Amino acid sequence: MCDYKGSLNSATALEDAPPVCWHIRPFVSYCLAGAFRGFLGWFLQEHISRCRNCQKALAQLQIIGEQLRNLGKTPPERTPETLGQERWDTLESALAEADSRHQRRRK
Amino acid sequence: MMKSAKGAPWVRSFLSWRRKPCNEAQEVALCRKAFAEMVRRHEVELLRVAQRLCGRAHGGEDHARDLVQDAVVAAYEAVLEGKFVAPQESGTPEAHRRERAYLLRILTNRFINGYRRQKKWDAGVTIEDVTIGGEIAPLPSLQANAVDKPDENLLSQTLEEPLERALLSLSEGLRVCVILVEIEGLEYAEAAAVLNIPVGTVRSRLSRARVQLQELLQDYARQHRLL
Repeated sequence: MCDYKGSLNSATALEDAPPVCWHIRPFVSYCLAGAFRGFLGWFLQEHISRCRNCQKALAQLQIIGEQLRNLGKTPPERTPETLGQERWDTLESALAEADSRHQRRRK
Repeated sequence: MMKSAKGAPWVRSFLSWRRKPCNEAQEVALCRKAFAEMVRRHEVELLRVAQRLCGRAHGGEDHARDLVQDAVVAAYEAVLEGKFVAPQESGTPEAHRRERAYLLRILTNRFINGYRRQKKWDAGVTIEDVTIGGEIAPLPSLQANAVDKPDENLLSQTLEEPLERALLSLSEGLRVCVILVEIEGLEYAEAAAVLNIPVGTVRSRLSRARVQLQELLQDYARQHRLL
């Protein structure tokens, strides 16, 4: 895992950070998960340990990831909790229709 | 062991809890009931994912409900055709995961297919573009801007925080990956099973999505002079 934290906090998700170097871009998920293995792992670790831009960009990406996970914990304000009775009634008749279609096909 | 309707696996699996034998019509009704119960167990999660996929603007809430309804009917049809056999022991974490993966797979496929169809439709000239005389309506640049359109202005005010905006700007394939892994917390392997793609593809899509989200957030901050 990219352990560069520096003075970053959640507000810095909107800050201007340099992009991750182009040759590291396809491996951002590996870098964030700390899934360094083999030659590729060694190469990524070597680069990140020397490149301040990648360190800062990856730290920002980690914060963005944390904020996304927080979105999952707090459902959207107006998310309907259930489909609602009216919708369920429609759904149940649609399922019954599917049943009769299936029965007709079998006969 | 209960009697099954012509040995259909979906009836056996859904009705494994039933003890008294009954006729086929009753079995079908019970199977439907058991399927509805399974959907109810995942209803909140399905709605949440649909809501994230559809966004909230332009009737997104109704669209999300429609998407769930459509996916549930498709899932049931697949069950009837024997494409999905419900876990024998419902209520176990493994069974819960399998049911969830199955329903999410159908939901995301429905969304992606619908999204692609919508994009093709949007690319063409719509009925609103054509006037009564058959001419094409004025160019968008000549039409009123968002500020002059009260409804759209209102919608933009009720839009989510920058992250949700950025999420909606991603392509459907990337957005689905981010929603499943980052927001819903599925493992890479689970997301790969839901989307029917290799784990490596999930990883690479997430890499691209993360970089794009970073750029979109910075653009947003620049536009709103937050930097």
